[in-house]
Amino acid sequence: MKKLFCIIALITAFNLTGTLVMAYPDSEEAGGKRFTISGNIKDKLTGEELIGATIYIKEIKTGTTTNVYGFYSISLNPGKYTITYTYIGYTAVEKAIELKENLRLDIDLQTREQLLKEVVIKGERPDENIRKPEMSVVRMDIKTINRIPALMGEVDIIKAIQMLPGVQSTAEGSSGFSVRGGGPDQNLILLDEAIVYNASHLLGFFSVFNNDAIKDVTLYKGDIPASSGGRLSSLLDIRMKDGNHNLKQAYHRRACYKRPHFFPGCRQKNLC
Amino acid sequence: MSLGNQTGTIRWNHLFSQKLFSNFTLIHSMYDYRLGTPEGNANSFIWTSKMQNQSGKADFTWYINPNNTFKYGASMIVHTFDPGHAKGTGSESLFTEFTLPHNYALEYGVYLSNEQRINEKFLVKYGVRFSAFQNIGPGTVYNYDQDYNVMDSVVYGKRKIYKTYKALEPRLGINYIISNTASIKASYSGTVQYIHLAQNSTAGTPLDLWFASSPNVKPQKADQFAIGYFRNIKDNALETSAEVYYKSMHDVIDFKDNAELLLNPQLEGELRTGKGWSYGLELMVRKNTGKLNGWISYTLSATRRKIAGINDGRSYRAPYEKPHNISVVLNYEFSERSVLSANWVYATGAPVTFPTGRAVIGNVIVPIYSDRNAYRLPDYHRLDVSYTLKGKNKKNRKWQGEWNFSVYNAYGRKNAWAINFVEDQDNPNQTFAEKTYLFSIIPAITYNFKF
Amino acid sequence: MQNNRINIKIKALVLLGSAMLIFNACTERIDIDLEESYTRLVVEGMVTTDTLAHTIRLTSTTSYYYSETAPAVSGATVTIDDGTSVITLTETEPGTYKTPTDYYGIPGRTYQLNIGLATAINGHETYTAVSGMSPKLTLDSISSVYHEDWGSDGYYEIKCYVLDPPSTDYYMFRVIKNGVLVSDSLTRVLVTDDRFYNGNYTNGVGIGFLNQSFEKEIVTPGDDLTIESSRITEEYYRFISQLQIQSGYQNPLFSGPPANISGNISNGGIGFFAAYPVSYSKTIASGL
Repeated sequence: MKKLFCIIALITAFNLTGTLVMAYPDSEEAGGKRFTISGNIKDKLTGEELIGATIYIKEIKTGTTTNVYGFYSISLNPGKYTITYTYIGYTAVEKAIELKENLRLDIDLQTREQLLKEVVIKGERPDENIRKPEMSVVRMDIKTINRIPALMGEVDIIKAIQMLPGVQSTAEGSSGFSVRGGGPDQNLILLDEAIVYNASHLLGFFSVFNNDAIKDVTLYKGDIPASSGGRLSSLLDIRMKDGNHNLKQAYHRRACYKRPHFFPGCRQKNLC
Repeated sequence: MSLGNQTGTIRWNHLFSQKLFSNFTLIHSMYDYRLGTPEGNANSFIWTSKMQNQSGKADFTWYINPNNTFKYGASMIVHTFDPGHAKGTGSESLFTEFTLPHNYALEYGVYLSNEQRINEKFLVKYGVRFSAFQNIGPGTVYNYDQDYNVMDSVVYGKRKIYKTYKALEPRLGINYIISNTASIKASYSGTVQYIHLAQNSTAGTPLDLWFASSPNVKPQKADQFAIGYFRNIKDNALETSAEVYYKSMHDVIDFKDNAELLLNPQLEGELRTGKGWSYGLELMVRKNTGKLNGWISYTLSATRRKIAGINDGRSYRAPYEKPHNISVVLNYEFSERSVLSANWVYATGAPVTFPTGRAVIGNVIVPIYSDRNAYRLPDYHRLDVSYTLKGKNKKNRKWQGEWNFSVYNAYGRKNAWAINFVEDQDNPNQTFAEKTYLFSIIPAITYNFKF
Repeated sequence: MQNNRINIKIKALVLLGSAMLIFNACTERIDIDLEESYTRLVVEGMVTTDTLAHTIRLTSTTSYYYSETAPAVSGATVTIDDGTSVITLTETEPGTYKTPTDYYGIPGRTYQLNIGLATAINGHETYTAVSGMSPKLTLDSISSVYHEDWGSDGYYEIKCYVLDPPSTDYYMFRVIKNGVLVSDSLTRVLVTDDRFYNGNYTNGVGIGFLNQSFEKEIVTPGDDLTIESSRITEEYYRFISQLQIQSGYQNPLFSGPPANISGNISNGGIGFFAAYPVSYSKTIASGL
């Protein structure tokens, strides 16, 4: 039990650091040096938080991306900036701002289909895959996954994953996969941060994941973020749609993903 | 038979300041299955197995400045394993109840990492994860001699921590940007795995049995090094990448010959641990935009294991070693509404063990096998095609329909799923090879209906 | 695409290879080249409590596609030592070695088989195997019941009534119908451990199953059904269960990698030398 307390103490310590950290940037800002632009990026129609959307500042040729909760934050010297918000499959948004104080900029992006007349804004910066110090990572959006021809028309994200380099299926039709030679149990599969122990359904011919409720799938074949651990070979991070996400309070989500075969069921959290 | 996965997540995001983002999560996750025979018979039984965990974690992201993004956090998982419970059903059951002992474990993780832009050309990501694992009572630990026979057992009381493992898992990523369209990256990651799957079959079954590290089972560890070249062509329309990796694994788990995994309280005696290593080259070209999009990838790889007590201690191919692997995924968008997609996959046949001799014992032909995984199934390849047609987006219509026509395994290749050696019905002395294949051409028409 | 808040998808599969197809997998004969492994000695034989000429059979392994009966190993010196005396077996036909007809095993004793080959196989001329004989267990009674709905033509099940001792035990059961051994190969005998009824009264657990689709196993009411029950060692139990698994159909969903079965013959010999007590219980087949 001693260890347990030790860990709890550590967590508390982190919280304290958190508070300290909080004080620090504020004081820096008070010094008038830098201001922060932060906010959430969402799909305009559905309110879905967009994971990995790009925020690019033209003037200083730098940028950032949203985290898994659609949040971004970037600190800059005061001045005039042009910010471009982009996301694959969505129409980019450009904002010209004058930074004099901390700014909260929540951006809603529209898919090309949602937009009536097409406005094309080209980013000048190279793509994320060149810029990020992150390798052996593949992100797939659900649109890509949905297009892959599937057995009996049943789209399956695990089958899509098996098409990526370095990923082998363990046997035909199986929901097990091997990443860079690791065993199928060496993959950490997270569905909205909850560990999934068995991704197979119907003797493994279909995976349990319901593609209609999935927003984003990222496979880390190596270079697993330090925030995740417990498995040797890979991290498969699956994020579900938030549904109506205007609530800022704590919310409870119960993912019913005991998937009914060829039939609708309980899928969205607001139905569960 | 039935099985289920259940997860529940409670999440709270909080901004301590515009620069400090936090996320707190409580998670419950459960996986169980039951298997049984129809009731009302003296031989009827039901078998259940379950595992669950409760976990909590706190993650912080501190956007220090445009050049540094610092992340830290901590997590804890409480594991409960209920590996098996079998009992007879019905009043006149012959069976006494049979329960494998439950066991409990705690897993912790604390991490720090920073993503730093040193200059225009040079980006690094460095971090470390400290993880720990504890077996906590009540629990029974069997002691084994060197031949894996049970000598005795020790019973630990409630809340007694009887084994602790700790590990540091460094993570490092470096990116050198050559130009706006090209970069070289390298990474190293150390990983540790504390819970394992008792799975011996090549195809995954839903009847998975997870077990924890314990005084007898060390955690599995891996070190992976990778280096890659990334280049975007034609204004980022084409993303290309080439990566090579080497992964070295320690205390990897495999099972002895003729292992008994189900309902075995002394499962740990069936395990053998040793080294594993794998290396490979991965090439990918991906096109995300335009009428024609998709990707082509090729993987050249090898994976081997060397475990005392398996294959007489000589190294052997891991069950998933398929040296050549090609995937082609292509979509052609005729319009917003109509898309033609195709994919083709090719993989070297999976390693298998075949008989290289036979003995006749008790009027039965008994195969004498080759080294483990010394042979391969025939190569696997398959083409799938699909065409999707979306209904017109009418303004006053509340729903949208979508037709999907697909053909799985379009050229009907009978890919071997298993190869068995069977006796000829007419001449019991004669044996021949027989392959089992699951799917030939499977066409399907699906109508998706959304509202 | 429209309102995602209620996103219910209804799928109607107009034409499909139904899910059943998955379970109706097809098989096809194919040619696979197999290398040939080195030759090994194969031993099979046992000592039981019955008084008769006990047989030890010596053969050798062949290539997998060999299509004749296994080659006999002749001219060997075969002895059995039970700790008090040593008897020498005589070769009655090539590869078949027999004890005197008045020979019988005694529970509690340990039997050692010694083989001296005329010419070495796999570099060894001598092979040994040791097996202890467990105490006898006699069933209280057996009964038979016909299950019309099992299989295509029904099954006769033979049920047993006995108090299982508190120790961990392993059993082998063979069925004899009208004096003819039905369980005539090791894949047809039933072996079991007592995991599910250890120390309990086995109030009718099935120990013999006669498939009425097989000519040899067809039972007519009034037939004389005999169960030969033997308490076997854990080693022999494992040997038979592994043999049954390895010679059967390997389904990749459930089977592990194929592996050689482990016998008790020294120097890399294949097979098993067993010693076990036998007892017989009789019943008359019930009417349909």
